[in-house]
Amino acid sequence: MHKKIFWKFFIALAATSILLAACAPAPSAGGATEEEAGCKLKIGYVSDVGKINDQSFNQASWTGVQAGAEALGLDSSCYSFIETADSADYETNINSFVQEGYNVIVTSGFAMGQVTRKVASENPDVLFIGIDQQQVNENFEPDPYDNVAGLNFHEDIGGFLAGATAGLMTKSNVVGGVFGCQFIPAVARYEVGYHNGVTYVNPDASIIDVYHPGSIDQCFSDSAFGSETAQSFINEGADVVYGAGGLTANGALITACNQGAMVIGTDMDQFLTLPEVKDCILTSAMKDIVTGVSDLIVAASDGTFQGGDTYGPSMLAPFHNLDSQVPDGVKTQLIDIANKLSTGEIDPCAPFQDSNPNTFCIPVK
Amino acid sequence: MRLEVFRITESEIAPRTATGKAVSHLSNLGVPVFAIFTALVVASLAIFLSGSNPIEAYLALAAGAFGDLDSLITTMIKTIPLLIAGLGVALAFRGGLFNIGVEGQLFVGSIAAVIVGTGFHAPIYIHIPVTLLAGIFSGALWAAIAGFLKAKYGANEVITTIMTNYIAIRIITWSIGAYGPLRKAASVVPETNSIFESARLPELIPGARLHAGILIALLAALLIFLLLFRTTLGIEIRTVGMNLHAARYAGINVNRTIVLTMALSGGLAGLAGAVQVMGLSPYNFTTGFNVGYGFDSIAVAVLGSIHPLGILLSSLLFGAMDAGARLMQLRARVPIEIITILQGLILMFVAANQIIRSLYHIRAPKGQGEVNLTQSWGGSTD
Repeated sequence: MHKKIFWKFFIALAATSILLAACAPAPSAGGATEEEAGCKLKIGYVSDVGKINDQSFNQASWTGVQAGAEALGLDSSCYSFIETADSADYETNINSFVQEGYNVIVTSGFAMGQVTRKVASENPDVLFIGIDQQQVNENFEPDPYDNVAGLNFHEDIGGFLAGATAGLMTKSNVVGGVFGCQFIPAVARYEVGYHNGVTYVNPDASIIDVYHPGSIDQCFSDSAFGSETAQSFINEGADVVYGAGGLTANGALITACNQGAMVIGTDMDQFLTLPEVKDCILTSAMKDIVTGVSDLIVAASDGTFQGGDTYGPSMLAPFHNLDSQVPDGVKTQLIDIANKLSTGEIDPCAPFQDSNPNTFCIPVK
Repeated sequence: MRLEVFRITESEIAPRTATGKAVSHLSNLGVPVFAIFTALVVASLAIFLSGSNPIEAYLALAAGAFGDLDSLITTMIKTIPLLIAGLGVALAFRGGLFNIGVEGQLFVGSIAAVIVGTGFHAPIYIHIPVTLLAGIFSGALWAAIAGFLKAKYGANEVITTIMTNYIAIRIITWSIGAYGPLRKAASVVPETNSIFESARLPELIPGARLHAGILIALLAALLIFLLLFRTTLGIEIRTVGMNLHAARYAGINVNRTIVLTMALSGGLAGLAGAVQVMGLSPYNFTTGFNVGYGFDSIAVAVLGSIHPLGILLSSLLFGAMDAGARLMQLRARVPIEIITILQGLILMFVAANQIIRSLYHIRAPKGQGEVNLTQSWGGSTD
């Protein structure tokens, strides 16, 4: 009797699967050539070890690919992704897109930088976009290739603007900052920029900056550490707390907010991504990966693509709910500072006593 | 004394397995094959729900695994660690031990190989074997801890190997993390230095990535087959696995065999880790490297009916799925998780083989209980 039930179950299963296969939306393998004919550009994305729905770096990168493809009016069959499961697969994954005839390949993460450059040097006809990948050789000397654009960000500028905001808005003249891994250049740039920004507008303010001391698997994901650190800042009298470093920073922002301090976020507009702090978040130091990737893809299509390091937009997010509390004088001052940063009049990355050496800042031209 | 043991086991145990061999091998092959087929059918539902065409996905999977020479090479590269570590899991199973610590032992082997491979310069014919041995012995030593705890204090090796996994992986994460002793200077990601060229496994075809690790893996399969079925030690291991008390009654030193089985199992896991860092560019250890092979190898061992020949086939299958996954993502836009679901379904149907036997009318082999897989949970050494 059991056998009969199983057989029925199995036949039903087989039938549905064949049915599903028959009415599935995507074209079958035979349509591959047809696809290629309809694509003026084929774009591939290789994630770092992780998922494209990580609500963070990889997701922003893939969203940028989609945005760029949509801007070009590409069919969804013209762009695809590979999620890397093992860092030993970086090269194989990138090469898969090359072999499938893709014209633009986007890779994300510093760790894939050298592999991307290696594959690029073997395939001069394919364009590569490397996110957070400075175009340097193994000795960290600038070494641009014609077909690789490294999309980087002046995190020091974003950090400087965050620091200027904090320095102008503090009433207690004590501001704090909680940061992720100190050996990651992007994080170091945020911190050094933040410190310089506060000092620039408010030389008398005391600044408490703390990095997470742990290794890479902890320093971006330890919200308890961030929370405790923020609490100690509050006890020291801080009334503005900046956080840059994934979940660690988020923990700090939430605790500082609950204790009545104002907070400043990082990378994305955290008013939108971290609703817990929506009533005390001043602004966020944004690095717009989505726009950066999208613009480079459009450039690849219209022939304006240039190899070497490029820099995506770094800016402050809107003040949202606290807009009415920010005096007009502060707003104009911030715009003035942003202009000076964009012309290079202010150096946001200037080293100070005991400043973090891991910044690898590149000055604005 | 020892001679007598040998005589007893030869006459009592060996003939029984020998007669059942031909029959059980046939039906042992039947269950996995039908399990794979059923899993493919069930997984096609998941593929459809993820918004893709199952037929297109499977065609891309096959093309990515066997479509051209480069894909074949990727499949073989993926097969190597699964085969070696799978043999390790199987060896432990044969001895009635469930070694869940393969992941940690594999990490330990990788790190030992990195330390030896970057520690000194030596001619290639010395450096390669020494580095391989470092991987084997470190993995063996690490696994022997769990074996010793089981033999001496009756500590369940399932628990202890899970815990030693955490210990190994955490220590290694620390050692390659910020300010860790093995961390490569001037590097932004946690990674070790690359091992010297004298300790790298040579490529079989220059420039084609396929390294000599495939030969090591095949040799390991042959040696484990010979060890299990052609040596006294193999009989002792299997006897302990079949019935601990009978083994002790027959005069086998059970405690010694348990420790030795774990050590051999861990040694294979360590070898798998060493081969990975010695064979694959950039020849170093970094976070995200090797992750999961230790756990996948348990599935490979079970699917391969814990027999070296079966594991050869099952590791090839899992390697092919891992290799084909990239084209499946790229062409059919199927998330990589589908591969994990597929592997999980295959394993589930193998483990719950009653479903498969009922579905396809496969008779259960006579003389079941070749291996007592549940000994870990109920059995004690006393």
